[in-house]
Amino acid sequence: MLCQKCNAKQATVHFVKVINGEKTEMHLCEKCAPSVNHNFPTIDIFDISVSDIMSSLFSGAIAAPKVECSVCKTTFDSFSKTGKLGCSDCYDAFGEQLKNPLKRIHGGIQHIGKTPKRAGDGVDKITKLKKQLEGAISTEDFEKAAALRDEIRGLEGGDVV
Amino acid sequence: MKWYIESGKDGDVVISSRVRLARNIKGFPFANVLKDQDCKDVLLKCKEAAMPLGLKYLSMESMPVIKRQLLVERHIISPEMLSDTTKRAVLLSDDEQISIMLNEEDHIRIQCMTAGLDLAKALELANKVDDVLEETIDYGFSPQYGYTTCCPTNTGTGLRASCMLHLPALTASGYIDTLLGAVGKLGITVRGVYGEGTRAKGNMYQISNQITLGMSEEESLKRLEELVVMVVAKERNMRNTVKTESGEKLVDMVWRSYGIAANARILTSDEAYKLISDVRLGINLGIIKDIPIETINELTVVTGPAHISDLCDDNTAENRDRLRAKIVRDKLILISN
Repeated sequence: MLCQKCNAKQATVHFVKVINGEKTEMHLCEKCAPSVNHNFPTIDIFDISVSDIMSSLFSGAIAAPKVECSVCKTTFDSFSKTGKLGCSDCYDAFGEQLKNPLKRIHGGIQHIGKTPKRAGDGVDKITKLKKQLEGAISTEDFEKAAALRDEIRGLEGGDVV
Repeated sequence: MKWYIESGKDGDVVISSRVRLARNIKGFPFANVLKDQDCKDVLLKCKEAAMPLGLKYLSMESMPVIKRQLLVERHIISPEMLSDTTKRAVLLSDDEQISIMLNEEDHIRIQCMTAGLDLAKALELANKVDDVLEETIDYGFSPQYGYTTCCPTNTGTGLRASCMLHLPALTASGYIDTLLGAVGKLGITVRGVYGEGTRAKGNMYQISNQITLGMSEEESLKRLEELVVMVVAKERNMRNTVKTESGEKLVDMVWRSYGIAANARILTSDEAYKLISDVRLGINLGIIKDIPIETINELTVVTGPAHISDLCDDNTAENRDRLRAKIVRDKLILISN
């Protein structure tokens, strides 16, 4: 299909607009598309602010509404409004609620990259143990896996079950 | 020569590269909720930790307003640093290549800049600074979420890498809008460098990574660089297309803009950005031969509103526009007379 505007290039951008059941279509090449874009609503017309995006990202996660960080007293509710955490410990306090939104933002939820030298020993050990844990699970050695899991939790400062 | 005047790798399109690392100090609340005394403690801790780096310590509070804006215009500090100045400071190297913002959104934001496309060198520098600070500062760090930051969009590596690109041909052809929409899907954003909104003044754009969790520093840099290299190739192709298809018009536009820039007596900052962009394109396409690109790099920075205000005795809009025209004229007049 050729571009409806320049009639020269292949149409690669396709707009379909349905208003009150009336359907309008436009087929354009990528060069012409931006110039006629204004006929079709795009996201910037709706003037979405960063805090709106943040709150929509994080508000879906409020299953337990009264979560509070024990160190800085920031509540998850206030965080989901501002998009700003209060201290490093908030990451532990809101751990479960943060996982999904973080995954949506970054795609991953496990840090890969530089680690501080001082925290290095503990961190390296955790990474090593996590590898061993994966190994234990894949060989179905669940007794060993449970022990490794507890050791990792202990190092990460969580409760050992 | 200051780093921002130099022209680096792929300097015909890439003006500069920058790497920023966000860090927080363990045991302190994040800067947005930090009490006065804690703010002072954070500033002092960082100042002492940075001693071996030999950086200048500049308190935002005691800095004249115009100097603060000047640092924003040179991208040394973010606009956020202009508010709550009592709790903020910046550490700066003499060549202005290294800066550390203190108590911005995070306690520590290390920033290193290089000319042209050289993200690896910027990261190397930033890592060195990071290592020195880490000698005495305990960072907030979680094995799962990496370096913890005030906003979860930065947690993990805390790395924001960006390149400043001059894209006149992609802008003129309208192709830029397609590009802007497409890169978002790759975890990368593009925005105009000067001014708000999508229309970039002076055809300058900043391309930066967004993902910081689950991706190593090197991988983030690699992805960004691959995209930048692609954009550079597209811009060069488009420049060549314009040159072949409407060469005479292009040459005419470049020389007209040069003519105005080298002779005008009143120049607003918007007009200066546009003219300097045209002259820059002219030099990079070999249309203008006798002006070094470094002169244009310098003009891009020194004609900004804050830089002009800083030099203006009687700081009115008219006087600023007059002074701006004189500075541009003095730099460009060499070959016209």
